[in-house]
Amino acid sequence: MSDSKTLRLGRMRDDDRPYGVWKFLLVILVFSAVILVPYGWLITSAFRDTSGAWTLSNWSFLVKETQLRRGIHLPPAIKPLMSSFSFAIIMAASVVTITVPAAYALSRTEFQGRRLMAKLLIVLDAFPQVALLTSFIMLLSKMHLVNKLIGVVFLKVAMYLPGSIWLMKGFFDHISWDIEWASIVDGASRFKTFLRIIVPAAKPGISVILVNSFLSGWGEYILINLFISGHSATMSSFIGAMMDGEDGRYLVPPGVLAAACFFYIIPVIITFAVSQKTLLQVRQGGSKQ
Amino acid sequence: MSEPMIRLENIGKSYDGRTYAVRGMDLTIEKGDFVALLGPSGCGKSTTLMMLCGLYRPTEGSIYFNGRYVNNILPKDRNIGMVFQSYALYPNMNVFENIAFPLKQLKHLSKREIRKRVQEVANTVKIPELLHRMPSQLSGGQQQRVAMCRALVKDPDILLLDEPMSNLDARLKLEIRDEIKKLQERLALTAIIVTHDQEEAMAISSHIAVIDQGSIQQYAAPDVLYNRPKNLFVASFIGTPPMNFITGTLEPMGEDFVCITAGGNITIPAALIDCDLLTSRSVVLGIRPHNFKVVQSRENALTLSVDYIEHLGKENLYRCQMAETSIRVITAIDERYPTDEPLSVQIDLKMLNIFDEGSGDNITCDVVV
Repeated sequence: MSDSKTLRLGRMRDDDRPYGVWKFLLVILVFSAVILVPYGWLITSAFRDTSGAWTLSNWSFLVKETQLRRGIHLPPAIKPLMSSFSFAIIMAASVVTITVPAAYALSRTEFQGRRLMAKLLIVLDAFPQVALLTSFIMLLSKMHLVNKLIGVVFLKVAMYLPGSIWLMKGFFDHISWDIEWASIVDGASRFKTFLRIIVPAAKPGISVILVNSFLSGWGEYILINLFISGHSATMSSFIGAMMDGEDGRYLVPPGVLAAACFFYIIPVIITFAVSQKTLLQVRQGGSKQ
Repeated sequence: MSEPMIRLENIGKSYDGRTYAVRGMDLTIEKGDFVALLGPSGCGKSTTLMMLCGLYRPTEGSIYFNGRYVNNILPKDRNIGMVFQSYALYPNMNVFENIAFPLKQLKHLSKREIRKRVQEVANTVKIPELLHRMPSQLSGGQQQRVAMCRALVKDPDILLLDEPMSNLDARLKLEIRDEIKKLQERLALTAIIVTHDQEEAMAISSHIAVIDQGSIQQYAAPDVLYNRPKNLFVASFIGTPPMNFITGTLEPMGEDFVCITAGGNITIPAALIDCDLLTSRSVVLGIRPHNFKVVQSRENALTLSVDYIEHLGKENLYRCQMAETSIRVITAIDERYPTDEPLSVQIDLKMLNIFDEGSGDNITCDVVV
């Protein structure tokens, strides 16, 4: 068993490579072009000025004010950047903290109304959030959270939970009962078993929830744009403000917009780079199914 | 009188409140016994084990360990070790941490003491070199041994094994079976193994409880089960190739009886039968394949037609037909009979079991065991 694993995981030598792989690569490249070309454009134009010469001046939005119209300036991107980070981190942390125990309970315990709750989760997950916007406004004003990011985080988390709980429940369902039972026979409490045995076994699932909710928070635009006034609440509204001209025209040079967009996706790339190993990890525990 | 190690009294378990997975089970296990719970899948044997280890609470009845009522005692306080079918190693911990896990739950042990005891048990099970590996780096047999270590590290009174060898290949199965048996004897453990593999049960245990439909059909030593099965279920479940069953009518004939079957009439001495037979009765004769003797005469013998022969190496197996019933006859390797002629066989009366067709109960006298 271990031998075959080493073989599979070991570096593939050139002569092991299946013959004619380049044909497949070509096909993949052609289809990916639809996605790759805009990204290529984005990255190169982030470093060109309007005349096409290479420059770093597009990146001044990070530290200096950017003029949108006469008399209207965007502040340096530092503050929206920090807001975006805290928004995404608070969102991810809240989602994981609530999702993991809730999904465990739904997956592994027996209580009154469990089935009903599971069904409601699916229904709630299917609701389009736009349909709830008016009630959100009422809710936020009742809670005195209008125009505050924390209020939007609250809404985001609430909207996000049904889907993530359902997904996480699926991960827990696939963990064998045997290791949980073994841990209880070994003398651990149910809670300790959850923390020491089940949560580590569900790590790939938890990573998926963590990364996805972080990225969802990072990319949130609609709710922030609706509930937060001003142009620089987060990075998404910061970029939105740059594009907010009449007749669909940009208020800043395309290079600046490209630089801002490129900057906006860097954390996404980093997040995937860091987490891909865990995300791709198939459950490979010591238990045979 | 000293209390038995384990006593089950009228144990029943129902998951839905209507149907019972186990019902009316009584079982007494003495210290040092190795008991197999044997039965087809879904017979309730695993449920019984789950109640013994305390993961399920019996719906009715009482469980006593050493005379102590344990129905409401948590698994951790029952002083048991358990090996699961999937081994249930904790995938995020290495072998050492896996084995140490039960000890770490006992608050009073020092790190040094834990290390010492893990080393000891790893030496006993012969895996000291694996302690730093992760479970995913182990073969099935090694995982099994680690699971054994974890079950034994707390020095339990009772070892519970839930199909511990069903994931191993045939050769390894024999090896591990041997080792479990030796360990159990050396450590003087009381062990209970759940299995559907009768050969495994026969080989490893001192007593076997054959379970079907939630209740114990027979609880006896392996040779008793084999030679004197209590009813038709046990008779058909134990033994490969299975016992032959021949239906017939038993009728009084002078002092003795005669059994009229489709393949011939067999005289059966009265001493063989355990009940008063005044009128004729439908019975099933149970004969193991190697308890036939091929004879020339047709008198007091069954006449069979031979379908084909399986050469098993150490013996020959004749697949025969008697009316609608298929019969297996095993003969010595040097005995060869033609397939195109009828075969006359006599029954070894000492090894014959007679079952009442209606109730399925064995009505043979226990004259020979």
